[in-house]
Amino acid sequence: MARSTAWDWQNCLPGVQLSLAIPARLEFLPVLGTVVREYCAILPHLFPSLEDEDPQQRQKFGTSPLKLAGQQNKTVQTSYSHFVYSVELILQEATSNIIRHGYAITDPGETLRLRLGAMRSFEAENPTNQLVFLMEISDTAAPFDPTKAIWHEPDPVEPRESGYGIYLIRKLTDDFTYHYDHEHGQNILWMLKYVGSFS
Amino acid sequence: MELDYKLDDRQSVPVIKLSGRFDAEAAAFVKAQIANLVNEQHPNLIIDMSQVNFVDSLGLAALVSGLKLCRKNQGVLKLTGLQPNVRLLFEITRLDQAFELYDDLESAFNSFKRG
Repeated sequence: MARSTAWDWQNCLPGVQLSLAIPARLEFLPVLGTVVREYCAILPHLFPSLEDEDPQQRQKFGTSPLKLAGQQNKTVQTSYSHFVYSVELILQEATSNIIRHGYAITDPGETLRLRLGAMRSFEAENPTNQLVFLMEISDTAAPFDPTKAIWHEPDPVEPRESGYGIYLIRKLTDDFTYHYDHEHGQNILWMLKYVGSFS
Repeated sequence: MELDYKLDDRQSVPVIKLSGRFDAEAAAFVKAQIANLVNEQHPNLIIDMSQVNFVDSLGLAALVSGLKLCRKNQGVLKLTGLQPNVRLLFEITRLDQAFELYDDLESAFNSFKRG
């Protein structure tokens, strides 16, 4: 799905956007993980129409298309727990890359800025009944476009000892977009993941 | 580091029991511990993952590195008790086909007995 001007923070559903700034250090990534999990725990309560009537079975809310490696055409339905894990992992991989490569762990004074939110998805500028989860990460490291980084399909016979990060972001997101803000000298990553449908 | 590491070497095959978050911060540590065990003539190892609730790409990479090191020394690294979300991660990266995965420790021990 190409990025549309229709999905922007202006279209984010009111009262659900969360912004945070964290030190660009690996030690702080568990803090981000906790914030993301807690945020995702609140989300179903903000959109009660998304929930299944049976609280034990939030399958309706939790369905999200997930493309499995080697089975690109096969869509599997995952539970909400898998959705939350996926979102945490996407943010972990993206921020860990920036800290380790962008800042090269040399400057502990740097900061990562994140925005999380939810909105209805758009098709041809018209809102649909799909809820999407938005993630934005900005940093001031040297310009680097991770959407153009080389990645490899996993090989189960001779598995690689590195390079799973970008692959996982690509597999787990439904959109992954990069932009360099020249005016403010910032790398800006946009990532999107479908959450489920409104009833 | 939010990963807890325990080694049980009283068994026929040493068992590394990990708990918590197996991420970028913990990866180098686990990789080094596996290398130490292999160097101490333990090319066969079991990692009990039942208490690991989060694994990232560097955690996976550390396990693959351990698997390759064990194989190079005519051994094998087996994993037990993957939680469902972690299991899904193994499927996405096809590492469920690269590793021998067992539901519990007993099954992993038995697999070594069968040779």
